[in-house]
Amino acid sequence: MSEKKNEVSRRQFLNYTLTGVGGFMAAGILAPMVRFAIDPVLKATSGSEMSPVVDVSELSNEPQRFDWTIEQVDAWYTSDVTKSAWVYLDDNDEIVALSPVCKHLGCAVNWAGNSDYPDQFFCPCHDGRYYKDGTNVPNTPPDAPLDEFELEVKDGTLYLGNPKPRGEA
Amino acid sequence: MQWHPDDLQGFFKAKEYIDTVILPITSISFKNQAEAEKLAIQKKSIEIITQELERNYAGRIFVCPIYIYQHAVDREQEIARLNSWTEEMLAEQFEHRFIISHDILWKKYEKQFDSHFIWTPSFSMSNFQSDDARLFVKEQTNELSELIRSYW
Repeated sequence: MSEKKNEVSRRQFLNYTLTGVGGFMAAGILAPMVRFAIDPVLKATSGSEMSPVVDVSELSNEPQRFDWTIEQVDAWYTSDVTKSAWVYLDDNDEIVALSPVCKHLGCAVNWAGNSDYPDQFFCPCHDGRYYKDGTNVPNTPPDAPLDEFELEVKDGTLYLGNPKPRGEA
Repeated sequence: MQWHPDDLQGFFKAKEYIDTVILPITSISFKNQAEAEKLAIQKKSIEIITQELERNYAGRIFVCPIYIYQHAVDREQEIARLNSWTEEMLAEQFEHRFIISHDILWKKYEKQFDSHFIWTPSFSMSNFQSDDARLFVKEQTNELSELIRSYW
């Protein structure tokens, strides 16, 4: 009696185990598929989409400021937010897109904004300065380099995403 | 900085750096449609211009919420109120105080303001998304910030 009972429960055990493992495997396969299927929905609300900013042909070694507007959705509240970036080509002709937001208190920095430092970014609020690559100049108020935008080039147009902080200078 | 919970957190942490305040003022009137529409555009315009200023000078300029008055108000009385406002609420904190408006009628009373009064032209178009409007705002904010910086 007890032997028989054991046999059944062993089979049941295997059944349950297989169903369980199979279920996990199915979930593992399906989850990314579902994620891909509803990806556009997730993208629209995450705010991490890329915005077209400028034609790549307009870029040069001299940093230029570009403004663009995005629609920011915070739950039920939608607002237009203007964003800016300083964009230039570095020595290897690679695009660099820096956020103009000063790491001190959030003013907008200007390239060559102070005639004493024509090859630096200058913050008009409290005289913070950054080198061309965005690194903060020591002994000025900012304590971190300027953020860098996520960027991608599609069909000759530069798309910018969110600014990302860089490692400590 | 703006009158905004997140900004205020930053403001109380970095108070000593924020020495400039802007109070945008604009009026309301329901007397006739043309005037009402004009004033509505002015309100939108002053909002956009001061926000753009704030975006560029967030670390030193505090932009107050817009002050609304009746268009047909007794101007001298309103100035007394504005002065007590700027003196009592703002003088302790901010060294540089600016009142900014599109309402040309204030120009005559300019000397009576305790703070610096700036009149600036409004845009006349109601399409704020157009490139012309964007350029207009850009030029306005450039000139205004130059003026404000000359006081620093």
